[in-house]
Amino acid sequence: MKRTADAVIVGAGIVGVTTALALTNAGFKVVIVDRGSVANGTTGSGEGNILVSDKEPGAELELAMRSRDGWFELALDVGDLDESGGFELEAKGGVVVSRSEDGLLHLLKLAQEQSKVGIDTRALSPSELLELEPNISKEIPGGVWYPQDAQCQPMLAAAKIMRVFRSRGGEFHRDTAVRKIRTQAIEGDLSVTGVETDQGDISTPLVVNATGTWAGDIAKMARSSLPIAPRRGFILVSVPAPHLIFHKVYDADYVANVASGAAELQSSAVVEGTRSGTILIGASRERVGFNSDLNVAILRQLAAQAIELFPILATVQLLRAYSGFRPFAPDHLPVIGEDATVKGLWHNVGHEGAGIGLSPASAQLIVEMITGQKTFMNPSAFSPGRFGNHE
Amino acid sequence: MIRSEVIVVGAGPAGMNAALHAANSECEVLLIDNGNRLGGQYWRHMPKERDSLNYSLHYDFAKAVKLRDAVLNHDKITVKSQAQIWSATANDKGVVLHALAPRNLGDLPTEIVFETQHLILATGAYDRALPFPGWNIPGVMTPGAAQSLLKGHGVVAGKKMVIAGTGPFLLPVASSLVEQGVEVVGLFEAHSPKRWVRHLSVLLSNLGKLFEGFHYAWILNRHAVRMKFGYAVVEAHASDAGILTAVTVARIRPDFTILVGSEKRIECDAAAIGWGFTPDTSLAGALGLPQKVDVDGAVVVSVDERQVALANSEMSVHAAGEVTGVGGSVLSLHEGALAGLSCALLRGKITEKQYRDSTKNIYAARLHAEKFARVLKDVYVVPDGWRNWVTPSTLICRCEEVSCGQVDAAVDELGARNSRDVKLFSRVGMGMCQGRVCGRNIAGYLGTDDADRIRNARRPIIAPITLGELAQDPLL
Amino acid sequence: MSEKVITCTLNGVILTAISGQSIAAAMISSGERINRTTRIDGSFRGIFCGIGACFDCLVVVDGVSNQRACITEVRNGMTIQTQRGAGP
Repeated sequence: MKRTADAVIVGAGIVGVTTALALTNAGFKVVIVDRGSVANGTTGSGEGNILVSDKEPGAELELAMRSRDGWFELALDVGDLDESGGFELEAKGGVVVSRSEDGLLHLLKLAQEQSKVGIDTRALSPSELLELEPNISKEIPGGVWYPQDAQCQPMLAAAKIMRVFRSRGGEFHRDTAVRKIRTQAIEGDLSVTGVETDQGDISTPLVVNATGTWAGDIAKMARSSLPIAPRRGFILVSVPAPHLIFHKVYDADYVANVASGAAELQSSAVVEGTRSGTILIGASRERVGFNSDLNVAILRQLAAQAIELFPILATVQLLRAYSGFRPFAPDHLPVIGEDATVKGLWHNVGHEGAGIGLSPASAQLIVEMITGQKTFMNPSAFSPGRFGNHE
Repeated sequence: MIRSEVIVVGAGPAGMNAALHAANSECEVLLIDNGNRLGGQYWRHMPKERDSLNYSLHYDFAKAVKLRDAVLNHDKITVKSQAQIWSATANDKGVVLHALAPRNLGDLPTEIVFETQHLILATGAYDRALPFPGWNIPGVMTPGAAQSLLKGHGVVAGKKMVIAGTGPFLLPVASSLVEQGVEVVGLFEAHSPKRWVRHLSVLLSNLGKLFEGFHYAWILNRHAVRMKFGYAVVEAHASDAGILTAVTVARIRPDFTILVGSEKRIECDAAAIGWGFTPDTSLAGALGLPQKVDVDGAVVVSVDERQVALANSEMSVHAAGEVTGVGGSVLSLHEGALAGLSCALLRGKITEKQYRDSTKNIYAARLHAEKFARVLKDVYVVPDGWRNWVTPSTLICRCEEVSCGQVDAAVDELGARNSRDVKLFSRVGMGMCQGRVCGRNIAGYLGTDDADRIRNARRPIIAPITLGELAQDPLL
Repeated sequence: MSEKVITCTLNGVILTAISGQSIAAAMISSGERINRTTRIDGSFRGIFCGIGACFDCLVVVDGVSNQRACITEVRNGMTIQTQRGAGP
């Protein structure tokens, strides 16, 4: 193990590897450490959403718009001439629908506001909707088409980015758990001097916390704090089926569920086909700690909601189901920036269910801040200091 | 919702005997099985009207009939056949099983929820298959498949067959096939019989097993079929129509590497190839039972001497038979008996003293059978040398059609180290069988540790259920 | 109850079987070894584990794909088709 580094990234999920690659490209000698392996946390449970459709105008949407383009740039960078990056990147487009006339009006209003800030949106009549999704329920009064929404296979993406990071001189230590972030008062500021791991110590003036749902534990090791909590989601995976669903299709209720902070179960249908033929069905949200036990009642609810959108799914078999833990911040916004009390400790965490989509722009933003360049957007909404002291 | 004092899952030797012993001690027992008839894989048989064929196809069918009839005629046992459990959960109050089953005979399956405080798991095992070039060609199958076609349906798998692999199971498969007129053009045991030399005392103390072996040898001899030792099928060949026409066999060393130059082609229209058994721990995994890796590399349920896998003051889960480690029908019967009696004890239907008195002989018999099972695992061990039978284009995951080369790429290029990494990067094990066939081979191919093997054997959705069925809550 | 002859169709052709037999057994005894073609490279698959564990012998039964031929009993009038890819 290297004894010194310009920067140590903790966490080899999608945020960790994109940040590491961006820092390496900026000339840093970077070491990634992870207590497991690539994509072992929330990244490995994700659907690979790269969405602009599910956010209201504001800082997060600005980040999402940049990030969506960032993904296609990243694909060209790591993909060896393969436009999909070798990780199934695809601008498949999103179709947001509402089951009620009221909900549809609300959705159209949101789309109008989104289009004002540059999102490509197109209102869909029932017949246009059927043209895009021939198997969708005929009961649905309409929806909105978001051609910019995209998807990738997040585990493959993380692994391919890791590979390129290493080929450019980056170092990765798997099965390496951080025990402590070393700090020291330098010119009156508490500053990072290194990390202690169960495999040895690394001296570094810069640590990026990219541990997602577990970010609070790392912050605590530097005697700081971050209020990140797990928000569990289940995904149903069907057996490989013939091509039935052509875009990412979801119920407009999803946007409201994402924005809600409630602890109790919320779910709304999110349905999409994948390249391997399986159909993925989400999305539930609940705050139950790190409990991964299968909950049949939630599976039933997700299945019923998906069938409401696509009646044909009633005959498709469920093959698997699994849960993942989204890193949830109280105001649903990611945490990107330097720690409020510890200099040299940077956080790039708290992306909740949007971590795959938001990672390239989050990496760009944090590297621009670290290197003191002009940032592509105002990062203040993502400031780690916004929560105050939670100790 | 159907509640029962005791629920037994699996109606093979272990499950039937567990049900019988619990019921004989006055427990109300519900015996759930996914087959049409009691007996499990071991005593798979055809309907009663074909019993004469049943008797001729089984070495010990009289024993099966006795147990089957005792279970069917017991007024404390309810049998629920054709019930496929798709999900299960355990908490500190009991166990909930979700199954797709016909409510009445002839009905289409609907979801039924079963609940109990005392579950006995006897979910058995299925054949272990190893990958080799051409193992996906129609006509190549496991010995269990050939056996189930014959014993369960009266159909022979081919006209000219090769039987190969390792283990004592090859003998009954080959002998029942030759008796039904199949030309067995090759019978190949991978190991040398000399491996028994170290265990002669155990063999001689299991004369019944020895006689059973002689019985098969006598049948095979009568049909002029001779078992060849130290050979394995290392490649299968398809016709232009895509079905099996021949296999290549080769001499292999004790570590299963091929002796180059020893290859020989044998024409056949079916090949039954098996490498022992893999316990079916799907339900055990869903229930979160403690599991371990057995000496043969199989993931099994970990139980105490009373066959208890999990228990508190209110509930228990017992496991018996192959799911606790492959050991054959005799061991399974003993384990089932102990599990049934232990349930009765926990229910207060018998006293501790009664339990001890009635189990004393069974404990001794189980110990004896365990010893024999351990010897079998030693004699018929499957070393990792099979990894040199495969080529980069050989499929390792049949469902998702993932080749060994793709697994190599996930390791070499993407840094995969364990089963989960390889799965996420290459889709290996993500198909419809959920790794039942390839999981153990992937772990062997990568050389991963026990924790990886146990984690990778988890599949919380035990059997496919349509989303329409899932969306209908049977309790509403 | 005595042995009954069941009549169904396989890819439109009459297939007879004995009551209680699985689709896989009926197919094998009629000489048909191919149950399906695979999704990715279109190769043939037949019965493999024979007891419902491997999901290789999938066929389309009465229009419903992904049915395991080895554990599904034949019924009178059943329509069986070899499955192409993900089906039907």
